[in-house]
Amino acid sequence: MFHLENAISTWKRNLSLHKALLPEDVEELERHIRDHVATYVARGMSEQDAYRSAMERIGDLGGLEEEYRKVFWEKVTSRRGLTKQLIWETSMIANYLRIALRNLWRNKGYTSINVLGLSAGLACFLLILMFVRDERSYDRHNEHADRIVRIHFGETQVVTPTAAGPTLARTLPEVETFTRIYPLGMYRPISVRRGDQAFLEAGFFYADSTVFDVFTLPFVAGSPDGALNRSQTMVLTESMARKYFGSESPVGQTLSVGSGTPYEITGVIQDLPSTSHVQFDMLASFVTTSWAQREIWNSSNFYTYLLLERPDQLEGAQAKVNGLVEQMKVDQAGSIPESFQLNLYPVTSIRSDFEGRGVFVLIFSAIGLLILLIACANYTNLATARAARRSREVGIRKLSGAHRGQLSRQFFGESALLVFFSLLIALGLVEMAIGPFNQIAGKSVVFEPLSDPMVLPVVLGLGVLISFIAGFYPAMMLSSFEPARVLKQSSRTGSGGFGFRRVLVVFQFAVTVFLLSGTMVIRFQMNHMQTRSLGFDKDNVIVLTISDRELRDNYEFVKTAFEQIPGIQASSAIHSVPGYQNSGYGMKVEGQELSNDSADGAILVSGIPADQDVVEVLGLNLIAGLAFPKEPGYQPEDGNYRYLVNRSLVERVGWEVEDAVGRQINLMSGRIGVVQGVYEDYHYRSMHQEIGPQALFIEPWQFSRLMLKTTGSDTAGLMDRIEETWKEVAPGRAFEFSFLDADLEALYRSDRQTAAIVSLFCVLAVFIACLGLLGLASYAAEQRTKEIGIRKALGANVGQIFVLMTSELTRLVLISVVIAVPVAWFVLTGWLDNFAYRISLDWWIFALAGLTVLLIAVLTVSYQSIRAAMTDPIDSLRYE
Amino acid sequence: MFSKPLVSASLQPIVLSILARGEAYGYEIMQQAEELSDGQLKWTAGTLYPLMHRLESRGLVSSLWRPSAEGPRRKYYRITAAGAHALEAEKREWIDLHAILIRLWGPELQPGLSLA
Repeated sequence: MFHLENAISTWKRNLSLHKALLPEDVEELERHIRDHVATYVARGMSEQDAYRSAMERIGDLGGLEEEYRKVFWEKVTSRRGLTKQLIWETSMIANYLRIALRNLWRNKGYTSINVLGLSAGLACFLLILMFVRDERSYDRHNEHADRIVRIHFGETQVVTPTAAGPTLARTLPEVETFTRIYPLGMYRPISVRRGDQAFLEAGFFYADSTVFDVFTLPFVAGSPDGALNRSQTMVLTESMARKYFGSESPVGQTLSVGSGTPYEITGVIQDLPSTSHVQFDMLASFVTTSWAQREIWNSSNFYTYLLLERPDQLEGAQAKVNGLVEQMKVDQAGSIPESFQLNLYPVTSIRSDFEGRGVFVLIFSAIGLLILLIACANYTNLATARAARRSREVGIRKLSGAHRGQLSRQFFGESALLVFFSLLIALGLVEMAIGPFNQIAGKSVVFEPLSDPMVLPVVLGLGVLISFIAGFYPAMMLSSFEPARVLKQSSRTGSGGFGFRRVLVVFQFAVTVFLLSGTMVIRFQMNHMQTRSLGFDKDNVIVLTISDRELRDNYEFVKTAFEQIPGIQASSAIHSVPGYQNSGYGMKVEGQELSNDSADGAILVSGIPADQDVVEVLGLNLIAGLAFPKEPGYQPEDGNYRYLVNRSLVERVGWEVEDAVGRQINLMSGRIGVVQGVYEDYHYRSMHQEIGPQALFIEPWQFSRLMLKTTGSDTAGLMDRIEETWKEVAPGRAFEFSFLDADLEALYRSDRQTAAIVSLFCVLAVFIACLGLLGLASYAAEQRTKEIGIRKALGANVGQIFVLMTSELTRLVLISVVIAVPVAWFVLTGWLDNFAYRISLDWWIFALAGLTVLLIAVLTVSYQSIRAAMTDPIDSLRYE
Repeated sequence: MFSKPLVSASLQPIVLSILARGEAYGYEIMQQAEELSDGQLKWTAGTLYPLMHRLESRGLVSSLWRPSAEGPRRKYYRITAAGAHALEAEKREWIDLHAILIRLWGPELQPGLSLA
């Protein structure tokens, strides 16, 4: 029954919600309508028809609002001023938000699925963003970061001879200054002592006094001027100062280094940021070392950095360096190899390019973006699926005078509200996750949303962007409904945007399949490396450091002392433990040209000094000849060296294993000796690298580690006894040890980190995609209630209905597998190329990933499908 | 029915002319225009009221709420001196324009017709 007063008050309410009208204007319009109705009723029209004709003569309300707005602007600007205008605008936005809030609250299930998915996605994205930012900030803390270059020897060698820096500084006018850092602690930890406290320091480095001109190293005590000018002076980082001196002021005090040389502390600098490619704890003056006396080219132990005058001089300087190197090859023909080359490497590219982290940054950026897109796709999907429900709302709104712009603003308002709410939750999630994430990623990223100037703009920008990306399509689609059509249709079709929704679902699944197969390949590769036979026995080996001279010279005495301990089976002194045996020597065989690359026909072999028990301790497998003879007091001399070589060396030289024994070889001139035995190849360095030729030889002055082979029982008690013995044989030196298997684990830490992070984000991506699917499935089921009811009434059983509901999904998953597999194959092949020993990329990995995704998807929708299938047709068809 | 541009162009002079005969409220103005044009001028509220606001803000009309015997109060509009002045100027323009058209369409210029 039509009621004029009701009609007018509804009209007024809608007008005041949507129109830029003042109450006065509404009153005038209302009176206008009443006059109109009265006139037509007087002519004999019914009240309802008269009202309808009045509404028709109101005209286009969209246009009306625009005109009113124009008038309104003139009004506010002319008489009410800017404040009123602002209040007005905010009240409009507040109104959009109020309605949005009401809508979201009314659909709690939908809202929580959306918020959960979005906030998880945003949290992942923010975490990845921080990871990427951290990676990209490497070495940027240096004030002159864009002018610092490191000199590389050839393509890969980062240590250079003492002569490189001074020579280039003299010949190139572009070079403002240079500095050399001698990372002694990295080659072997140095014992540093104060009173009765002693520690082994791997961060004990020497540096030229110019190090403070090149790098930004802020002093907290003392001053950079002259800090490292004198012999036996040293600068500590803050944490080292605390470690040795507690709250005392270290400046002016001394620490004793190695076998007792006193070093005066001349300054304390801030700890290095974790984003510095070079990490040291103490810097001693380079002039202390004998290296500082001479500029030589034939021994490379030093990092050399140049500070250019301007950032754009890199190319010019490199060209001049190339010229200089060519000149040296001519001037000093014979003594400089053909392959000699000096490259200037910008310090800001070391982390990303030289250390290859740029690839990870790229991978993670891509994953972050994909997760964000999945989350957006969720929102878009759910919103358009709900369009069916809201089509009536749109129709009514339009009839009561809302026009398209207002409706789309309304829907944007809803998505913005949801996005910003999710962002808040995401920030909370990041706050909680940052600790564990740092642990997994091996980082120390700090998350301080309040003090970090980056956070607010990023979060706001992200909010606006996501609101737009996720809300654009639904807003356009919903606001485009034609009121006549949607109101006339009694059933909810909801077919709008169905094609688009399918595209999004396929996209989500493709990403999921991609990430899942990636995770599997990474896992399998990790497993492959961990289970692959190393060729030696890594278990029950304790490693001690015997780098100082006294211990080294008396290694036989030290060994014997430890071997007395019950529970220790054998021991061996060695230069470096397996996994870290990187030192290279040129090897020659008399009368045989081994290589065309080098001037002297030598090949590069890994040469590792080790004592006579190495075969026993590492459990190496001898395939010809004998191990080193036990001969106490043996000292090698040129001509009487003894060698054990691996199979690869024998094959590289071209001998047969059987007749390799007894052959004469020479390592780096001056180590002529005889091959005593041949052992089966073992992985002497990381699995990333291939096994090359290796030779073991006895050379006591190069020993720096002592490996103790234990029975493996009562390790705790054994450690106590080992420490007691250590105190007897090495009084005053720090007792530090490691286990060989743990040292080997450390080699693959960054691989494991990558694997862990990728798996983590993959699981999250799958989770987010499933959330969206769950929402979608429930809407699909709801929409098809009647169809299902009719089918059941006609005799379909639960199984058939289930198949009906899931067959569409299966098709979508198959399409996404087809899309994802080639991409995944391409990317993963690239990743596996990093490993010398890798798994093969079998088809079943992708099939498994596809099947898993299908299974997860079917499980996700099955609850809804089965529920729909079980519903009694009476319930769904009752109102038809 | 008149074309849309013509309707908009004539809106202001017609409204002002109606008000020049005496004050009126919005619906009344619309009705008068409709009657005067024999139903050829059918404005909508969406066209009229914004114009009234514009006229008022430019000081060409003034408005006044008056109580009404049958129902709520009405907003009456009255032409101001400035409005009358503006109407005068516009009237001249319309007459001039009209004269031009008449001259163009005068019988001596119509083909096929002779004066003699």
